[in-house]
Amino acid sequence: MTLAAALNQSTGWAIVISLGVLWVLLGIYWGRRAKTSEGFMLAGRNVGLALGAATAMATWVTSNTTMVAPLLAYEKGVWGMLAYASASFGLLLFAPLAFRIRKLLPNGVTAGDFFRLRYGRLGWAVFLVITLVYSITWLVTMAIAGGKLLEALAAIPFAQGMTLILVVCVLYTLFGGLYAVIGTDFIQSLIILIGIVFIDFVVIQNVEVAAVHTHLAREQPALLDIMMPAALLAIFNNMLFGFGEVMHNNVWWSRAFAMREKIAPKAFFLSGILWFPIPIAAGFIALAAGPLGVNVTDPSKVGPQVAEHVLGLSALGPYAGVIILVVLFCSMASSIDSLLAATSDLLVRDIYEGVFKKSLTPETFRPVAAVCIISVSVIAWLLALSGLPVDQVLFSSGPLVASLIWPVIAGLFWKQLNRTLVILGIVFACGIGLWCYFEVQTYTGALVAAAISMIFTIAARYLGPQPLNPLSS
Amino acid sequence: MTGLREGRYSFRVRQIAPDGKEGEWSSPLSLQVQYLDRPTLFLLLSVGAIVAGSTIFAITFGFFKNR
Repeated sequence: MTLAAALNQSTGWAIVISLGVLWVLLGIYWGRRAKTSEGFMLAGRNVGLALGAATAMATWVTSNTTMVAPLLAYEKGVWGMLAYASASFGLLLFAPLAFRIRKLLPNGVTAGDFFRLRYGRLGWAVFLVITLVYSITWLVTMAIAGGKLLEALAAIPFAQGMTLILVVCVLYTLFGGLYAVIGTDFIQSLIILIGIVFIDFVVIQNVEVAAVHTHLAREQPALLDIMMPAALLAIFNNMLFGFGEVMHNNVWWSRAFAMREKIAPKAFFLSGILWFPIPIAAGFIALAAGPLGVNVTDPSKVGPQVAEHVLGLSALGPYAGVIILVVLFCSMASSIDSLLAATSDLLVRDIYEGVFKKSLTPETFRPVAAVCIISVSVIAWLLALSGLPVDQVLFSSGPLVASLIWPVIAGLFWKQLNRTLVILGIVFACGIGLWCYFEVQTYTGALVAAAISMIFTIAARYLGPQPLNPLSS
Repeated sequence: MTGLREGRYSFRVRQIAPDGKEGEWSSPLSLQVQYLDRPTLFLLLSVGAIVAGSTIFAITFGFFKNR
């Protein structure tokens, strides 16, 4: 069976537009509180545990989790599921970092503040290039996944579906800033959790674990092997990719600044625990493809394809596509909005105010922030029109973010460093990591980049170190 | 096609019409499944384990030292 025509086009449009209107209305409602730039960018620095944990978890459940985790399980087996789940360690480890960040930067606004103060203008410039390239890449993967999903589920042409999802997320982020993002994330996280648990429950009702094992042992035996090289490499590569992504990106730093000081570490730890089983649940769905006789024509859509098949077998038949679309749309929206908000904060704070030395008043802040959000979206939209494979686009950016893991740790905990050596290490790590990604093996890029950057950063502690600039300045 | 162990495989396909009429088998397609060589794999896995372990240690140590 194939996934085509699970929904008709008009139903697909109606679901996305209805959810979009709901998010925009909630965005306007919550956005009323964003009267200052700090309110718009950091939700008044007063986010509590429930909202904090929910927004961190929902943001980390992206279209990549719901689309790429099943793909990894389908192609790499049990190790593949665990490899994707290892990204939760990034959230868990960010808990102690969030504690330190709030202590050292009580009035911080973006991750750029940290890099500018600790590593000077050169380090700050390198960070901005890496994080903007990565953020756009992440956004592009989610837009592509959204477009492909609507095309597969509702036969909506790729460009139209991708545009629709981006427009909806841009609208409610424009109206409410981080207040809207965190509020909608809370609702979206509940829908995602309930939806994935429900779909897995239906899958288990329709296929026995023993049948999955028997099928894999006969048809795809390597998926059960302990020694599957690509899958084993994927564990460390994904883990380090996750470390780098969470530790450097302003999506997570802005949340650390937005939460109450003592809440931030608890919220990140809790979100990591809650997130860990989600890729495993999403991955198990893909492993059931064989025993269920699902003809997987495009592995990148294996998760929704199997989910639609099993929900179709249950009494929910006609509503299967609706449930899948709602869950996956929430997983995309919860990340796209966060990324739009955090990246536009970087553009406003670090580029507009920092690089171009422009000052903003409460009256001029919102128009500039709006231009930044729309600009980021247009760039992502143009790149997403390519429709490139999501996993390849995503993993190619791994070396960039992994190169920043150790500079962040050293900058937060160490007292002196040779800053030039650290920056040199980041540049080398990016270059060699990208070479490994393209020339050696897909799952070596982040791993090699993190290793090179670690060696340079540790060396920078002992070779010509200088006291680091205080962060409070 | 995923999940195959190392080795050489041959595949051929044929069409079966809705009325059950079977078509001719295609010519076999051969392919070789080859994994990353073991020395490179174990080197990369060792590097991954050292970097991941060191990262976790550095953050945990830094947190407790500066708490």
